[in-house]
Amino acid sequence: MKKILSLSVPIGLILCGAGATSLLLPQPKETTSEQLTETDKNNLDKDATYYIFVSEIEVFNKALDDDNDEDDWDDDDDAPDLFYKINYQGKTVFESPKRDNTFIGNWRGITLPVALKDLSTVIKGDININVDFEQIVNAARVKGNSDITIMMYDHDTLTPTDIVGKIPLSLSELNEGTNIMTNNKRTENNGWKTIEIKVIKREGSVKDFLLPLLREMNNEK
Amino acid sequence: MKTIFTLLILSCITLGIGILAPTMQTEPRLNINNGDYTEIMNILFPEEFKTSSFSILQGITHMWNTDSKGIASLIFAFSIIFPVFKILALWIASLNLCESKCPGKTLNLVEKLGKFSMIDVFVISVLIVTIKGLPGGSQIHGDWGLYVFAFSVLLSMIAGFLLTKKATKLETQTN
Repeated sequence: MKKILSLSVPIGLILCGAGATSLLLPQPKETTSEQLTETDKNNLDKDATYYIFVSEIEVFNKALDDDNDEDDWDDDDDAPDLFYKINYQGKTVFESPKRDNTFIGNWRGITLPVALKDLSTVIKGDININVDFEQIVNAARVKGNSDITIMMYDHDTLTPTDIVGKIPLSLSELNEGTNIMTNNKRTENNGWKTIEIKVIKREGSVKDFLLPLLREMNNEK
Repeated sequence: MKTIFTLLILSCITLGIGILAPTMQTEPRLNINNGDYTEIMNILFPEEFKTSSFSILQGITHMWNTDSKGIASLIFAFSIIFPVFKILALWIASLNLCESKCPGKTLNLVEKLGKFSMIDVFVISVLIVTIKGLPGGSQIHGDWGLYVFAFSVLLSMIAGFLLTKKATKLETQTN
C-alpha cells in the first residue's frame, strides 16, 4: 500500500513538469464563437481598415457622349481605354492604371516590383529589392464605415476623358470578398455593364491576393 | 541510491516537459516551376507562411481529430503510456532496493521494458522523416521538446542500468 502511495511522487513530478511547460509557453489564440459569428455575417467592421479595388469593369459598346462620332468610345474606332478612381470625402484616394482598347478592364490588387519569373533570382540574392507590402498593394485604404464613390473613365489623349459611370457606395452595403454589381440598361450617366469590387480586411485573410498570384505563377514558366 | 532517485526525479520532470513542449516545427515553403518563392511569400503573406510548432500531445490530438486514430493510439502508447509506466516500475524497484529487498519481478519487468527504450523517440523521428517532404517543399524539423523528451528517456535508461547493477550486487551478497 505504501509503495502504491509513493507512486504519486513520480506522477506528481511528471504533472509538475507538464504544468510548468503549459504555463510558461505562449498559448495559441483560440477563435471564440462570437468571432466566428462576426465573420460569418460578413458585415464590415466599422473601425477596421479595408483594401478596396475594382477587379473588373465591363462597359456597353456605345459611349455616353454625343460628339457626332456615332457613339463610338474612341475617335479612331478603338475600344475604350478604361481606368477608375476611388474618391473619399471629395478627394481621390486611389487611381488605377489604364487598360487600353478593351470593353472589359481587369485589375489585380497587388503588383510585384519584379517579373514573376525573376522572383527566384531575387530570392537567391542576385537582385536586391526591398518589398514593402503596403507599397505593392494597388487598392484604396478606407475604414469600414466610409462612403466612397467609384468613378469610371475612358481615357482620351486628344479629346477630354469621357466618364463611363459613377457609383456612390457606402461600405456598410458591401461584403468582405467579391461584390458584383450589374447595370442592365445603358443610361445617360452610366455606360458600365458590370463591376466587380473586392473588399479585403487589412489584417484579415489575404487569400484573395494569393490565389490570382499563384495562378499567374503557374502560367508563367 | 541517491543518484538513482535523482535520475528518476529528473526523468519525470523532463518527461512532463517533453510531452507538452514543441516537438515538431513545420516550415511552409512554396516551390513552383523550380523557383523558391518562400521568402517573397513570407513578406507578402506573413500569417499564412509563419512557422508553427506542435507538441507530442497536440500532434496526437490533431491526428485523433483527423481520423488517424490508429497512428494517434500508437504514438500515445509509445510516447506517453510506455515512458510513464517504465518510470513507475523503476521507482518501485528502487524502493524495494532501499529496503534491501531484491527487486526481482519488478526488475525483470524493467529489463523487458528496457528493450523498448528509445522506441518512443524512434517513433517520433520516423514520423518526422515520413512527413518531411510536403507539397510545395514545406518542411518539418525536430524542435527542442524532442531533445528534452529524448533526454528523459536517456535518464530513465541510465537509472535502469544503475538499478540492475545494484540489484545484481545485492543478489550476490545475499547468496
